[in-house]
Amino acid sequence: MPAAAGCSQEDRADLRRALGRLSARERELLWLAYAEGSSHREIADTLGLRAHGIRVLLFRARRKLAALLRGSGDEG
Amino acid sequence: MTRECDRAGEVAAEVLAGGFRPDGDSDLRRHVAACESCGDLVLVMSALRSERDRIRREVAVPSAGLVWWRAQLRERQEAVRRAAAPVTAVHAAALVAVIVLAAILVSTVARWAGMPPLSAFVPTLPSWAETTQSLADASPLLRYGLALGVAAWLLLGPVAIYLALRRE
Repeated sequence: MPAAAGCSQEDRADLRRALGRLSARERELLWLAYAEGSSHREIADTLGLRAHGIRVLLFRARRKLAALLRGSGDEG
Repeated sequence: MTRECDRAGEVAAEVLAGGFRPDGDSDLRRHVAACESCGDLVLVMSALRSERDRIRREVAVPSAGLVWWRAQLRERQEAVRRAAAPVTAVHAAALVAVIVLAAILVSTVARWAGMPPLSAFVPTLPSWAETTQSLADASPLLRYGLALGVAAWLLLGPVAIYLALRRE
């Protein structure tokens, strides 16, 4: 299983540390999409963005968070 | 990889359906193992959904009934506290009035019985004669004011107690 995907204290700390290194917009995007399961349209409405740009923004934010999680996982 | 994988929707659906197990041997799992974008997707989705589930478990929102009950309880406690404040003041005034009346009564009885005054035991205490003399020496305005105040206090004290107890 990938790092930070579990439920341990360490995984949660890694996730929070990684989220802390993202911008507020990136955190909001990722949380709405993957934690809340919102559609791109819903995310666009919530954050005041254009729906067609969500896909790219989400892709970049996800790649960034994954890299941070893998980085913190390797350090631990 | 610099763009979203075509199978991202399929992978996301699998994660949403109940968690993605990368150690499986289905075609999709083999794809995720090889695809960087889908690997990121599984990693990020799993982490965020796990965190969301944990938050939902920890933040147990109380029921509407419980919230209403607590509000009622707080309101009742506040009402009791508000109501008790004047009663407490009245009780204090009544206690002082009783002490003063008792002192006057004891002093009067002691004089009738020919007992030595309290000032004989406590030298610092002024004698009855000294007290009455100092009152006689005071200005008429002060004497009338003092007499009026004591009379009003002794009359209104019991009335206030009666009203407070009746309200309770």
